[in-house]
Amino acid sequence: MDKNYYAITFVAEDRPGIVADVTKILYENGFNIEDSSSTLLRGMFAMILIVSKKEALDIKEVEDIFSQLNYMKISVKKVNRNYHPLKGDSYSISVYGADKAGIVYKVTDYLAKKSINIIDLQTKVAGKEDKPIYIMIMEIIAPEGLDKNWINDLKSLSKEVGVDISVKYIETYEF
Amino acid sequence: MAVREVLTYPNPLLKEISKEVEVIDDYVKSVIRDLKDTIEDSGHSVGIAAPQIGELIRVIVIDPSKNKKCTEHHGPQVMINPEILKWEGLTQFREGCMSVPDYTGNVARAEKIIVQFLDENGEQKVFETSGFEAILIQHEIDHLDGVLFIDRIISKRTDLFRRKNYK
Repeated sequence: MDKNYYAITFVAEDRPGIVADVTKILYENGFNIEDSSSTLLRGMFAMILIVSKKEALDIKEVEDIFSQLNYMKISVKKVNRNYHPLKGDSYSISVYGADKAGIVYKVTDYLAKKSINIIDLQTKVAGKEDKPIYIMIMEIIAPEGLDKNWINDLKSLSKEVGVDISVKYIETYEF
Repeated sequence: MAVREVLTYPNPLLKEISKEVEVIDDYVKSVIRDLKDTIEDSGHSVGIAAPQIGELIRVIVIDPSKNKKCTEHHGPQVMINPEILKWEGLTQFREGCMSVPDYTGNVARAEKIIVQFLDENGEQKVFETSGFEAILIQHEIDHLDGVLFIDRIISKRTDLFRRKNYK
């Protein structure tokens, strides 16, 4: 790698200006934002960024650069592996049902056993307070050549857990 | 005959509005030939628009038959001055584009369209199409207006979790 990569997360009580505060420091210190994703969850704003820099810094040095942002929780991890995009078939999976413990665990445990990669996952408790609904939406990549029966297995598993599930193949059109 | 380089963003020509073709002259014919050669050479590509090879005229070339899963289509087409007369329904697919390498995104398109165009011989044609072919035509016509699929991306997250007040 000709550059040094770091995975940095920031979590803070939400207010306007968090992204600007973080990116100002990145910009002024010669970091490039490679890929990033940020979202607001129940009043907490969370950012995860892969940033790069020509010069090699140790973790402490990177943390120190952000020390002025004392209203956030920050974590820094050095990226040591080269990045290879995942190959396989993309699916969108929705799982939902009455709120109960273990929904996420049981579904994702099954996926893990099949070497299926989760590339995006969101969960939310929706519905009325006395009648909560648990909703989990994820995007996964199934390895090439995986027996398609995993979809039926997952449906049977959902029945056992007592939740509804739908699995949609995501077709990508390259024009 | 020439295989041309497919321009990639941020080449500014991809954001230009292309001109209507008034006469199918030698220049237009040569662009059509180059588009055909280029799409053929790319192997997987099912469509190309003239601005993608740097020619700002309203011509697209499509070949939906190259997508094995697309069973209902009108075959390879040269479309000059294509215009969508009618849109119907809404569908979402993940799209990628030769001019925006290594990136795909979810785009909303009309499910069914009626498209009017001139063919290579200057004959006026109209057909109705849906599904893959309809999405392909919409994608390529967008290029004639300087619109890339990135302009039409719908954020996955807000898509799923947009909250509405029903009170």
